[in-house]
Amino acid sequence: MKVLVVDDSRVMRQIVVRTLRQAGFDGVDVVEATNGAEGLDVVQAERPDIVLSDWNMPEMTGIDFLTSLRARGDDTPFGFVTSEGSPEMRERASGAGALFLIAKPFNADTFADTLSPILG
Amino acid sequence: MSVDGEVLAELTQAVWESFVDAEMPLVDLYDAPLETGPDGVVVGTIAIHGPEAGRVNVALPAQAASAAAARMFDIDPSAVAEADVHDATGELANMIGGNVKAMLAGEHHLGLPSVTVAPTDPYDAVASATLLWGEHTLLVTLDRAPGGTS
Repeated sequence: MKVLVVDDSRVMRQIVVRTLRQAGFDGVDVVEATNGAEGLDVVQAERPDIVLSDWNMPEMTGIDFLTSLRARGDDTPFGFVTSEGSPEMRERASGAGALFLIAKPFNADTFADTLSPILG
Repeated sequence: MSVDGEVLAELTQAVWESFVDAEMPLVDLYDAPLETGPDGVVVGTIAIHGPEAGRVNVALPAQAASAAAARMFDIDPSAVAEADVHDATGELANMIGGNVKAMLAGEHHLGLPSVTVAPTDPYDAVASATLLWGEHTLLVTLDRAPGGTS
C-alpha cells in the first residue's frame, strides 16, 4: 500500500507519517507533496492507494486538488487532514468526493479508526 | 466573536498535548504577561477572513519555539534549524487558527501562516491566553482586523 501525504508544512507531513506508524500502518510506503499542484503530479507518477491532504495550502488548495483529480477521472481514495473541521468544511469535502476529514489535532486512534477500512 | 481567552487556552492545550508535549500540559496563567527571554519572541500569525475578520497570533520566546520545534520534528534540540522553528510555529498558528475559525458564525476562510521574530503590530485584541510550558510562557491572542472586514 502507498500513501500520498500532501501538506505545505514539513513538520505536519512528518507528524502525519509518524501517526500512520503509531496507528499500526507500519508497512505502508509514503510519498509526499507540498501542495495540490504537486500532488496532482505525484498521483500520476506514483499511483498511491490513498491521498491524505491538507486543505489550506499555497499554489493549489486541497479542495481544488481533489476537484482536479475527479475532473480528470481519477478516483484515487482521498481524505483531508486539516485544521478546519467545521460542519461546512466536512460537507464541502464530502460533496467533492472526499471519504473523510480528520481534524487537527488528531491522534493515532483517529487514524486507525478512519484508515483501517482502506489500508487494512 | 464568541471566542474568549478560556477557549483559546483550551484549543492551544489540545494542540500542544497532541503534537508538542503530552507529558507536560500547558497551564493556563490567564492574563499573565509573556516573559520574552533573552533571544526575543517568535510569533506565528494566521489571518481569518470573513465577517469577523481577525488574526490568531501564537507568541513564544525563541528558546521555547526551538524546543517545541524539536519535539514536533522529533529531533535533537541541537539539530533544529531556523526554518524548522518557522515551520513548526506557523503550523501551531494554523492549527489554532483553524479551530478558532470553525467556531465563528458565517463563512470565513484562513490565510496562510506567517512567522516573525518580533511581536507584530497589535490589532484590537478581543481574547488572549497566557500559558505556561515548563519554564516558558506562551501568549495566544485573537485580534480583530481594522474595520472588521475581510
